[in-house]
Amino acid sequence: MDNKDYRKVRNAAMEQGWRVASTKHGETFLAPDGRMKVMVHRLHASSDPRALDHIVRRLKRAGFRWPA
Amino acid sequence: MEDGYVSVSIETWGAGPDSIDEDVMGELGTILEDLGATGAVTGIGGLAGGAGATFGLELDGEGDPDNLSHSCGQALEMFLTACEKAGIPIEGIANIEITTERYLELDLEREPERFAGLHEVAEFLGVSKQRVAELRGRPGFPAPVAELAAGPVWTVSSLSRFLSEWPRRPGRPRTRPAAKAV
Repeated sequence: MDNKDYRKVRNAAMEQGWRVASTKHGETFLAPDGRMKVMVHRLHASSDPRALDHIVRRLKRAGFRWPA
Repeated sequence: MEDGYVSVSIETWGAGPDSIDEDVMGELGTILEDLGATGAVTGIGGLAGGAGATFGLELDGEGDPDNLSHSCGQALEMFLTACEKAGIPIEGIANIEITTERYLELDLEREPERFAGLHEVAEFLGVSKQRVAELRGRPGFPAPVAELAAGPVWTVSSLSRFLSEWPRRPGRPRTRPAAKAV
């Protein structure tokens, strides 16, 4: 998955009840049930074309459905 | 063998999503990148409750069992070092996953499970809702995954299996001839 799709993942997560907040390092995704937080680092996307895949894998651990 | 790449996910035991400061978790990602990890994403909470991370790692020879074992050790060491530098206490490792790039692609392309109620099941099988009710009593018909107030709910994958194995006969079932009056 292309890192350019980050906005699509972010929007899908919000539609599925995740709350997204800005932090010093990037953004934090809070799971709908409040039991998990995922920290996305602004600068790390450039170090690996698979960075977005890592975000999706981590979100899926708390029930995120993708492809949405 | 060609150079490869693995994705690593590590989870630790802990006291939940609010037990470690978000900025500290952000720092964990930065330290992981400094140590050679790529595309690091960190998280806290979930099943094990503690800090975790998902990141990429370059290795020699993708899929080679020896290298996967080696990369597992390398990833764990990298993660523990990063936690120590970030000041994150580790109560124990709960889970480690090493995923090859090819498997990662397949896993991410996999469609999420879809669900169907009585109406959708009838459409899917090409029968009436009454017929679905009859079919539920047939051996091999999947059990619903949930019984809601609105009705039963099935997974589409379980229905697909039933549909592929269903010895379907077209038309109305033959009725017995009426007994002759004496």
